[in-house]
Amino acid sequence: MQLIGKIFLYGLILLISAFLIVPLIFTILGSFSVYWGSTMFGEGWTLQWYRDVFHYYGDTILFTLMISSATVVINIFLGTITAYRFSQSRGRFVNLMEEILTLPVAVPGVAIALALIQTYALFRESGLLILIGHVVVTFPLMFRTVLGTLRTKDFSSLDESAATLGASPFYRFRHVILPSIKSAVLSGAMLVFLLSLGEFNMTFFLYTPLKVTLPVGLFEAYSSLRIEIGSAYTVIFLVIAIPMMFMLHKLNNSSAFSRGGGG
Amino acid sequence: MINRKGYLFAIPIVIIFSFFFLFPLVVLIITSFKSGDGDGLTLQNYTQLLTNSHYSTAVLNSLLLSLTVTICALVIAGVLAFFLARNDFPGKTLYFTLMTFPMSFPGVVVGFMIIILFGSTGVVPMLFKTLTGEKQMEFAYTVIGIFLAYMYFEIPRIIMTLYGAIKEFDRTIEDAARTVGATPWQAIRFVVIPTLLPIFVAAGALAFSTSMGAFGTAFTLSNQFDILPVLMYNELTLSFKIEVASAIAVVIGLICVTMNMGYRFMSEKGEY
Repeated sequence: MQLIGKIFLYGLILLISAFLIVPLIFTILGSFSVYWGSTMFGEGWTLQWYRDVFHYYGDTILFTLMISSATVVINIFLGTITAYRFSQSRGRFVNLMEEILTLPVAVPGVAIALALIQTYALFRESGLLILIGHVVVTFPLMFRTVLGTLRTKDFSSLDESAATLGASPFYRFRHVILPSIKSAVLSGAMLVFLLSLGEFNMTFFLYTPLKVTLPVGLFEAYSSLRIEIGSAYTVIFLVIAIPMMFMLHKLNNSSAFSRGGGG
Repeated sequence: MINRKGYLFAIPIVIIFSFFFLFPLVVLIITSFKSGDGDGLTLQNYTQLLTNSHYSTAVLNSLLLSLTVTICALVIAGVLAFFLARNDFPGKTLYFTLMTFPMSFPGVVVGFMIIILFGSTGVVPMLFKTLTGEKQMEFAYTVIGIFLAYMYFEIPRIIMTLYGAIKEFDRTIEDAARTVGATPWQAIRFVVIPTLLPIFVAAGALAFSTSMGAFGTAFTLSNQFDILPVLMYNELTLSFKIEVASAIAVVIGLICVTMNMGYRFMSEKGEY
């Protein structure tokens, strides 16, 4: 009886592990294969698909990196100063504001997108609306990560001593708070970058044919091109994302607030 | 006292949120009450979702899909989280990383993973073809494909949520139950599960909310199975009914926000 249970347990674990990992392995293999058929490298291997991706979708990679970097920079600024302000106060109003500022995590991307396009159709052409959407949607990750650190450690007394000595809020923010929250800002930045890099649900409603992000390009490639090109394109996405995920893991960040991919 | 100028720090975000988050949401809600032709306000867009079978099927599909996925993923991820939290083996960190890694995939990539596994030239059908001469399990573009895709992004997410709580769970309580004669199953049934229940409910709420709002995955695996986010897209781009699309968005949004609040409430309750 115990043995059967054990076999069943390990069988299930094996099956689930395979389910999650096997497609990744085949994506990588397939991206180098001349022809994806019943034998993976029956027709040899090639780098042609990668050349094709850079040729057709090179600009989407560049555009996404620009959007994600800009989102990170803006949210490092917004997130830290807002978290700093919120760490100094408590009370009902502060809690309510905190909930509102965390709301973009809960509201689905498709709803935010539909709200944005009907309100600011004007900004769509320039791609600005994509940036605005990304900033709003990723803001809570930075805000919450930094606020969490500021609240667990006793920064307010440090801050107060600096204030007693006559330091201005801006001076204190720069020289007292900022150095102590460096690692929180770093993990927040990586969470923001990852989410922005992979954002599809909202971006799909906001992009224009001239401003295409990597995930939107992926969708296009999946639905109209060969599976080998789709694989190569996916591998390029993974190559950008994996170092970030790895570093996040190292920083041992709790992902309670990661909205993550999905959907 | 220490901060008369401190409020300045909050101004940028208040402006950005008011203009680019709250105001658009208000616009969305107002649109959802407009009728297609007149300028009066109406509840028609919402009642249609329940009375018109074109919409109510999608409502039902979305709810059923999310519920099924949530329950199945909770059971499977629960087993894995217990296994990971209670066993140490070489390479565990790497394994854990791999198992939670798909959490940050965009929905479209998750859809592609299912195409790789179960598409017409997918790994599983090709394996069947080699072994038996006939392709089988070619269901990437069916309801089963959608279900599996949702499992693909929910399982890692739930493992991540449960792992910490199970790890921190005080095993001495369970051991005490065993000492006084409880069988392993009884110990789990009467000691472990009641203690960990809040975090399981929290993980379930989060999973349900993610499934309800998911768009990219279902869109990549497009098929006859209509769900709310895809229906919203079609109403907007194919039928040009922005009012109905807005009503759908408001409904999805309300469900997701409620579930998310439930998640936050339960996970705080689950901390000890």
